[in-house]
Amino acid sequence: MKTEPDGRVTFTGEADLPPVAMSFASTAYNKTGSWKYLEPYHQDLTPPCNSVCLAGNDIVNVMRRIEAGDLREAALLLLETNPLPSVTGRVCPHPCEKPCNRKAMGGAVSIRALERFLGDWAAREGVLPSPVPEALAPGDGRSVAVVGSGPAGLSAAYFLRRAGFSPTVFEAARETGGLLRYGIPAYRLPNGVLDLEIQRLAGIGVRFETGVRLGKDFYLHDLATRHAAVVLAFGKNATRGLGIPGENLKGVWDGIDLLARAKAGKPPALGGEVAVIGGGNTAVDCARTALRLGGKATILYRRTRREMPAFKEEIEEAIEEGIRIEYLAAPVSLSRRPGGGIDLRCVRMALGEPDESGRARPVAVPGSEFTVAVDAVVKALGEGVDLGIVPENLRKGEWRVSCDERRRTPVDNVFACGDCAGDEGTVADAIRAGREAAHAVASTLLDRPYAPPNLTRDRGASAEVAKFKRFNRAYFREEAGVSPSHRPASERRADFREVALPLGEEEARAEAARCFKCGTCVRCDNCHVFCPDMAVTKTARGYEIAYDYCKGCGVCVQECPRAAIHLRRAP
Amino acid sequence: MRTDCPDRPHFRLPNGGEIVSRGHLACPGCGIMPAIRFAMKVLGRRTVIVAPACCYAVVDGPFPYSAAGVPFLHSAFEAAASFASGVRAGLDTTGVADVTVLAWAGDGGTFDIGLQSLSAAAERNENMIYVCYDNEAYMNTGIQRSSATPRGAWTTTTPKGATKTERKKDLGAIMAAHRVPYFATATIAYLEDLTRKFAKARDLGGFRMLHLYAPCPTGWKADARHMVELSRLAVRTRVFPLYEVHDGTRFEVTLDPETAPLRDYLALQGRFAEMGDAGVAAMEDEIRDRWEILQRRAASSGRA
Ligand SMILES: Cc1cc2nc3c(=O)[nH]c(=O)nc-3n(C[C@H](O)[C@H](O)[C@H](O)COP(=O)(O)OP(=O)(O)OC[C@H]3O[C@@H](n4cnc5c(N)ncnc54)[C@H](O)[C@@H]3O)c2cc1C
Ligand SMILES: Cc1ncc(C[n+]2csc(CCOP(=O)(O)OP(=O)(O)O)c2C)c(N)n1
Ligand SMILES: [Mg+2]
Repeated sequence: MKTEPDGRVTFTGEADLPPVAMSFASTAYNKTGSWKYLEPYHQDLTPPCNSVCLAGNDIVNVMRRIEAGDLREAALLLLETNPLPSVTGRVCPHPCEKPCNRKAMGGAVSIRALERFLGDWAAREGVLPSPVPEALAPGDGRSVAVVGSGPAGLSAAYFLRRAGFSPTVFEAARETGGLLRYGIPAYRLPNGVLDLEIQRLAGIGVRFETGVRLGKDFYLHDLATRHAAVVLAFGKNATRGLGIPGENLKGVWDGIDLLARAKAGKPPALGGEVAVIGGGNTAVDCARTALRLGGKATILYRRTRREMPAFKEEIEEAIEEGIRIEYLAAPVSLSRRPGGGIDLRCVRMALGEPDESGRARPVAVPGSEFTVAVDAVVKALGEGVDLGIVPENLRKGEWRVSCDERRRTPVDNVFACGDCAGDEGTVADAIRAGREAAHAVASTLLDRPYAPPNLTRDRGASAEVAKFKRFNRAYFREEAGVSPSHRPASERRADFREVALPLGEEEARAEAARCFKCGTCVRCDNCHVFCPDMAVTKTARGYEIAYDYCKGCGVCVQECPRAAIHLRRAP
Repeated sequence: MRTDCPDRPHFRLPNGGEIVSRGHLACPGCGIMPAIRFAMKVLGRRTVIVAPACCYAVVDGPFPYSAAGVPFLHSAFEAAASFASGVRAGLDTTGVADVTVLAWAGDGGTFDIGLQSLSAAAERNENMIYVCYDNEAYMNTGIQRSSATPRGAWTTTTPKGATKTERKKDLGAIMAAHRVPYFATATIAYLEDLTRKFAKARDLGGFRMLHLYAPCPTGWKADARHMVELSRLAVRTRVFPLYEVHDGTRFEVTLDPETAPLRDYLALQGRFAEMGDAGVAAMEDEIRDRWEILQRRAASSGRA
């Protein structure tokens, strides 16, 4: 009898045959893989949340770690992409929750509330990102100047430090944080929260110089000669006026100025009736601030609710608190009212043809003027960029610093990011922009290809977004979420304490467990245990398919709960 | 009784090495394979398998090859239980006490032609585990009806226009009437339940029987990838309830997951393509009826 290397047996004579016809050799010689015309393969897809997260957070894997109770690991992973999780966990408009596949089975996962939970935990525990900066060599400690300490500048400095550079952040204001400190009100983002996150940056060696202003205390040229590179992140540094008579009267406030004073604990006395002009976040925050200062606030907006650029959630909360919004109304002039107060003359608007922004253009209705008597008027019209502080060749149009998609300005080794560079105007986007700028600095100074990290891609996920219709629903049950609760409107309108309440650890773990882990292999073993051909084996890194035996039945694809296995034509 | 349908239907499975090997000849998506694979993981290498003529006897491999990984004996179609009784007697006579005798037979070989030898072995309380893997027809020879084929199903002997009119035989009741120490139903979608029952059977003595529901995509005109889905839906629609019977008297439903509509189950299988609304309604009635009987038996066992 001969046994071939592949396990095949040949009998050479009668004497080889066993006494009874009982099989003794394995069937493994038989490569049944040749039967198939389709073959499965493991490939993680991009979860819908990850696909829209501006900060680029690896949300699903953070959820997995929270669910497992590995808060430190979860925090470290989040800190890979987001230096300010306690901030975004409060103020990010959470586009991630919108396409959440969980929506259909008990509501979207409260990703933002979980981010806040984790960010606060990390801040309390003093978690620093790993690896610790001492262990970093590439940037060689070269000095980089960052102008502005808003989220874009903080993010740039954080990622520069983590790449081995020595960033110094130059900030014009007395304290760091930009709009996070001077814009977004305390009932949404208390300063103490921001302080802890900035401490983390200081903890890894980011240096800060406050009270120094580009264009006054120093110029770009000075920075460029003293540092290996400069990152401009000075945000929207100018306010815009109404351009109507009377806008500088006493009792007329600039919105950002009002917010900054309120946040600093030195709010002005506004009086009873406050009119806020505008429709963006600044307007809504000013109205809610005026309300908390004891006034009655009305927002005047020249378009309708549909066109309002403020976050929907903020508008809803403001209305809950009793703020009135007067739509289709625009101010025409302001005048002093005899006996105190201001006469605000307005005109009714109607929506006309769409303008360049695609929104319907408001047009004044002739003869529709009316006057409201108020005690104060807040101008919350959005902010602009004063480009006077940078050389002419860095100015792009009226409102932004010129930079390419790699964040390079026309001046060598000068980069720009955040609101001043025309980014989207959210904290999360400023964080992404800062990270990109840090990578641009590293790639330029270290002469490396520019490849800002993309955690989803770097993890090996394909760009295809995981869709619920490809999931195996048998593995998921309808489960209601722990929607983060808010303090009642009647209570919260009277103070500046936080509106949204935090999640507890139990709640957070339960909520993270609701996450489907879309398109992400969680090593559930279904493919391994259900394979009728035993062709899927477990490895240290996941699974391996023995194509020599796989018959291409597709059971593993069907039984993968979350679409991390796919079929393709067999070669 | 568990009522949930866990995300990981197998979160505590035996993790010993593989005994059954690759290269077997089962069709893509064969429902027998995960069952025998995990059965063998539980029973271990000190096992002898006796299989009558059936699909598994073929897919196990042609002489001298076998996928089973343990001595594998082929018996005549009608004789699995008597052949296994003989193997047991032989082992006992030669003083080999630690070997499990496992009869592994199809539904044709169990419900139909092998029923007399099965009944005899059960009556003698032979020390063996008898497994009927039920793919609801004689698949090996080309999809002929058996008394395990459900009413309304197409087979080559109940063809288009003349699908089966008789209901499926109640094997559990037959075996309970024999008062065998252990009888259980199981299926691969609920692997943890399945392996737990094999472990229970292994640890008991006398005649133990498992009735395994094993989807056959080929014979059921279903997509191979739906093998586990069919197994799961059979339980969720109560087409195949998961229960066990101790000593022929104590009935217990072991897992009753969230129910699913019968049509979900039927829609995945071409063999039910001809079943009209009346047929579906009749099948629903039959399922309800059988479920109520099972509930009554469980209740009167004092362990509903
Ligand atoms: C009222 C309000 C509410 C908002 N709410 C939200 C929200 O809820 N969620 C969200 O995602 N986004 C919100 N935004 C938008 C978000 O705050 C900004 O998009 C983000 O702060 C931009 O970051 P940045 O770093 O580019 O600029 P900034 O945060 O504006 O930071 C720029 C920094 O540069 C400093 N600086 C300016 N000029 C100089 C100079 N010449 N020299 C040195 N330093 C200088 C400034 O003092 C400031 O600290 C809100 C904005 C406002 C105004
Ligand atoms: C006495 C006898 N009659 C008929 C056959 C042919 N035969 C072999 S296997 C088989 C059908 C087996 O059906 P089942 O027991 O349900 O197993 P399956 O093939 O479906 O797995 C038949 C009819 C035989 N081997 N012996
Ligand atoms: Mg059969």
